[in-house]
Amino acid sequence: MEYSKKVKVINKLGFHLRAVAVFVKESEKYKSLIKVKNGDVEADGKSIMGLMTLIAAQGMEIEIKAEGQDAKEAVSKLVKVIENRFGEKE
Amino acid sequence: MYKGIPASPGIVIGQAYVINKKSAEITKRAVAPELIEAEIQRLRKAVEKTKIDIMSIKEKVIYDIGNSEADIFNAYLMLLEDRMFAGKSETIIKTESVNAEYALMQVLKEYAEFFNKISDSYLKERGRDISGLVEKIIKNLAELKTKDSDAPAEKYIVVAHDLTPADTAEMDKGKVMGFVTEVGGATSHTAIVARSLEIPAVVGVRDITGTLNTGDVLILDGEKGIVAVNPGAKVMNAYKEEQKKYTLKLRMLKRLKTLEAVTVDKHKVELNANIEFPEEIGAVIENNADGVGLFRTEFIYMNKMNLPSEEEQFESYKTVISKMGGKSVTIRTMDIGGDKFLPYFKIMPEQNPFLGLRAIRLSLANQNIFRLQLRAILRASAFGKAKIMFPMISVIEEIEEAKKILEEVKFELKSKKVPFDEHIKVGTMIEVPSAVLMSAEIARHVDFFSIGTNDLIQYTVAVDRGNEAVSHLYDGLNPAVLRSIKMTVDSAHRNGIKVSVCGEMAGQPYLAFLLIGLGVDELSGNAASLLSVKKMVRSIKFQSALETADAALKMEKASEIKNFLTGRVNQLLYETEKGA
Repeated sequence: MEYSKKVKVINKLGFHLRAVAVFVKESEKYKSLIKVKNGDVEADGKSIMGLMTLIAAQGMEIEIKAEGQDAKEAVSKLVKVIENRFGEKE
Repeated sequence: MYKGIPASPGIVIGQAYVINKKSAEITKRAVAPELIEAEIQRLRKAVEKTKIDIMSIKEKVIYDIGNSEADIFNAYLMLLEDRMFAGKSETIIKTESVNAEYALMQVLKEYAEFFNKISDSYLKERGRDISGLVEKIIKNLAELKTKDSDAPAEKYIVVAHDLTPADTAEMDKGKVMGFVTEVGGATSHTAIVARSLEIPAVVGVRDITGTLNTGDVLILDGEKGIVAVNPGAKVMNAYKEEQKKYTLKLRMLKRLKTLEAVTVDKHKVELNANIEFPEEIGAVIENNADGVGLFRTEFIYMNKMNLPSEEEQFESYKTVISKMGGKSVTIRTMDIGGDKFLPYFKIMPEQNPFLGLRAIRLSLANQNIFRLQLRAILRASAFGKAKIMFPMISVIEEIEEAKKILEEVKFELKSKKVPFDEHIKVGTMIEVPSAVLMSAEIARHVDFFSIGTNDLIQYTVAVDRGNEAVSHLYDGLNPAVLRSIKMTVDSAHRNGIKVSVCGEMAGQPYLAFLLIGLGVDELSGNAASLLSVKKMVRSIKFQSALETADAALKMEKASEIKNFLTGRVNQLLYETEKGA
């Protein structure tokens, strides 16, 4: 199974270290292979370092892709994490 | 055998504990094929050690501040476990046959370049998160080179490039036998701390951390400024003999403990001690000081991850005040800024921190912190005899404002019926030229003066004592400094208040002689120096000190004054010894 969804980064600091850590913690809960794409750059959704190199700033639209048995849940949960600003206030 | 600057007297023999090595340039080193695996293991161990370090910081933060602030440390931990991060470095070690430090730097460079390409300045900052972590690993890699990365179980001699106040605060002081540092002079932080803890120290020993390892046997002679490494039997025996002599000398001095500090012609000089940690009070009592002339409170603030609470401060002040049992304790309000920083309190970077927002200026700019400290001091004043002293006053308005705030805090305590000493004495440090020139006016606003000679010399001569290129200009015998002291003393006495000197000059017998001659009423030095100063006081006539100071005030050069002064002191001591 393969799923993907686009989502806008809305938190002020974008994919900074702490935010990315929150994302990775979430994505590690799923068995599926997770990729995050920003423009032409694609990164492993379970690698904190990889995600940081996406340089996803506020306002950018990124794509979350998952492949595996829990792909659908993974994508919808990870989109939520981003929509919830990684738990940040702004 | 190394030669450095003698910073605190005494001889100790023990093993070295080498900490915070000078961060050397990372060099590329070829690693032989059969050692590649060991190099990878070294990297893994350093990463593991870094994880443990971060976890312990995290726990401290959770304890001090709360869970939400600890998130960033989780992120660091995850980063350390990230395949792309450690894995890449390992690949570089393998494929290029290079050392771990170099491999790590390559990874860092790659990311740094990546982040630097981005115009968004905030995202650029993301690169810094990673470089901070790399630095930590490299530091741990450096330690893995030494025989033992952790402190020895036995007592040890600390060997470091430099010791920051925070380093000293974190130390297990029960285990430290001595200090050796590569930088610093006789008035550096390390020297001051060593003397007040009565621990021998040698500073300014160049490049010693590069060749020493933890566990090496050292002889440290704090009086001659010598450090001998893994000495042979001959040197060892000679020093054991020296050590005996030194102990004997100390025992002779201890006999002066219960005697008063009065000159031959019955002029009384009050001898106080400077402290920065409550635990130093033992040495103060042991040497029978007349009081604590300077309680530096910075260290209550510095040894922490967050601002100390009023209760914590109150406990520290109360401990010192009650242990001194009725003898006065002069508490200086926080002297942060300059070269002293707080990790949790952001001070904007300044071009000239010593001319910037420091000491009383910082307190007046952050009144909540200041009020909290004053409240803690006032509450503690109910348990003995406390005095409050404001550091680095440069204009009258500052003393007016500080006193106004103090009155407000007093009023608040009174209305809550909290006990405190309502007549607590208030004084100022005189340590900048503007305060010297205005000392007659300032004297009308306060109950006492204390001259901080370390800063007074720095600001009068415009010399940064930490800067080796100009440190030769840093001299307490500079005529301008002596005249400033004289002017301050005269202003104070005309207004009926006393003057103390709490800088390092007060702890050196022959300089103390000159200060007494300049009319200084009280001397406050490190506890260990008290008895030698007392010995000097009891050997001289006040009249001779006055005459010597008078003559010195007319001289033009520090070198001239120095020759004259040492000549006079030697002559006077010879005369009294002959007479006795």
